Amino acid sequence: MILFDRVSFCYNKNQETSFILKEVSFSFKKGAVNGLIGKNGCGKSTIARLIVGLLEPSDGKITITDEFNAKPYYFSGMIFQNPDNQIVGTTIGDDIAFGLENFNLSSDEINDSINKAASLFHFENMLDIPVSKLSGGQKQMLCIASVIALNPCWIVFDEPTSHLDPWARIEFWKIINELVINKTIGIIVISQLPEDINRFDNICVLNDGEIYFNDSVNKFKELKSLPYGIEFPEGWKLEKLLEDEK
Amino acid sequence: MILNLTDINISFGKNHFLGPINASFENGCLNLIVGRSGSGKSTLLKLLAGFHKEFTGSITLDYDKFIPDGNISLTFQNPETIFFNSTVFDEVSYSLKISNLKENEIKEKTNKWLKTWGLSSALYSEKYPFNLSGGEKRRVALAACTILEPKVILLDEPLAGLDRVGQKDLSEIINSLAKEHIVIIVTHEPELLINNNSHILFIDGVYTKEFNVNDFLSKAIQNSDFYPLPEWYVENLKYYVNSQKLPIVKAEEVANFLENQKNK
Repeated sequence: MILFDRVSFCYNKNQETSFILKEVSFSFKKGAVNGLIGKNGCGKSTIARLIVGLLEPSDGKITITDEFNAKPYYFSGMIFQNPDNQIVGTTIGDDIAFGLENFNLSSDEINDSINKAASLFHFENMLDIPVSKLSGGQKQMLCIASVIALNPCWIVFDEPTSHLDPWARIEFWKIINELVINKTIGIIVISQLPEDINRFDNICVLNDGEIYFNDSVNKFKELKSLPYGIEFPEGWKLEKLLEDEK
Repeated sequence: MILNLTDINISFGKNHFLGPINASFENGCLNLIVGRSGSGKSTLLKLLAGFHKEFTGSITLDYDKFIPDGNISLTFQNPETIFFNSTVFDEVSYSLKISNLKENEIKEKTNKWLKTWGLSSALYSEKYPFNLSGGEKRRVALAACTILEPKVILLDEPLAGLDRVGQKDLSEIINSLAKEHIVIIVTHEPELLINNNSHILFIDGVYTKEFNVNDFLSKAIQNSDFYPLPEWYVENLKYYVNSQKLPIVKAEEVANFLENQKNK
C-alpha cells in the first residue's frame, strides 16, 4: 500500500504561492488499477516523482508497504512521459540489462530477467536492435519492459499510452491487467485520455494541488460535475445521452 | 493546393521499407497518416521535409516538382522539450530573426501569429516557455515551427500528452490552419481529429491506402484488427456499417445518428 499522509510539496519553500501539492492524504492499494487524473500542470507527475523518491515532500509523510513481494530488488519504478528521457542502453538488450546490472546480479539471473521481460513485450528477437531504430511507441514499450525486468513492487506509469498506437494500447492494458490479477506489482496510471478512465478500478482526481475525488470508478461515474480540464469518456457520455432520450 | 506523391518507395540502405505510396494531400481538409508504431509514418514526414533522401518516385506541389526548401515545416513529437529561448516571444520569433526581417515587422508578425495560436501577446509574450501548461507549451512550439507560414505543414502527433481541453483548443487551431495550408498529421488518435472531410492515408505493412472518413470508419467497425476504434463506438454502430454517413467518434454525433436511424 502507498499512503500519503498530509503531504505537501512546493518547489520554492519561501513562497506561499508555489505549492504544487497542499496537504494531500490518500492511499493506493495493490490488486487494482489505480488511476490518477487531472489537467496539465495539476501535480500528477509530482506525485509520481514523490512515490519513486525523485522528490522529497516538503511536509507530511509517504509510507510504502508491501504485503506480497518478499524480496524486491527495489521498491517502486516509474515510466516517464517521454521515453527518450529514460532509455540509456544502445540496444534493446542493453537497455533492459542496465537496471539489472546495477543490482549486482549474476549474469544468468540478468539474462533470465531480460528474456522474461523481452518476451512479454515481443522483443525477444530484437535484443540487438539499436534503440535509435525504434519508433516512439516501441520506445515506450521498451521503457516498460526495462522497469518490469527489475521486478519492482510498484510501478507508476506517467501517461503510458500517449505515444502508443491503438493496437499497442490494447496490448498495454492486457499486460497491466495481468499484473493486477497476479498482484505482484502495484499499478498507478497517470493519464489524461478519457478513454483510459474506462480501464481504472479506482480513480484519484487532482485539481490545483488538492484531491478532488478519490474512490471507485462507479462512484466517479455518478459525479455531477468535474473540474475544468477533465471529461468523462465519450462512451459514458453516449450512455447518458441515450438514457436521457428514453 | 495539392501535394501529389507518385510511386514513392522508401528504403534504408539496401532494404526496401515502404511503398509504393500513391497519395495526394490537399488544403481545406486535415490529411491524417495512420498506422502502427514503426510502420513508417514519421519516416514519410521526414521524407516530405527533405531529411530522408533514400527514395524513388516523384513528389509534386500543384503539379510542379516539389523541392522541400522554405515551403515546408516539420514539427517533431513533443516539440516543447527543445525550447531554447527565454521568453515566448523570442521562441516564436526566432525564425523571423534569422531571416533578417526588420524589428517592427518581426514584432507585428509574431504578435499576429501568437494570436492565431490562441496566445494573446499581452499575456504570453514575456512569459517563460517552461512555466506554461502543457497545452500552452505545445501551442508555443507549434507557433514557432510554423511562423514562416510554409505551404505544407507537417505535424507528428500534435495532440499526444495533452489534456482534453488542450486537445480541443489545438485541434480547432489546426483545422483553421488547414484552410490555407496543406496540413499533414501523423496521429494515433485520428478519432480526435477526424471531421467529415478528413482524408486518411493508412499504412499497413509495406502497403498504403487512401480512405475517406466514411470508408475508414466502416472498415474499422467491421474489423478491429484493421483499426481498433473505441469499443462503445463499434458496439453501437455495428449494425449500420453500410451507412453512407457514419457519425464521427463523438458521443453527440453518435446519439444523433442513432436517433435518426430509429425515426426512419
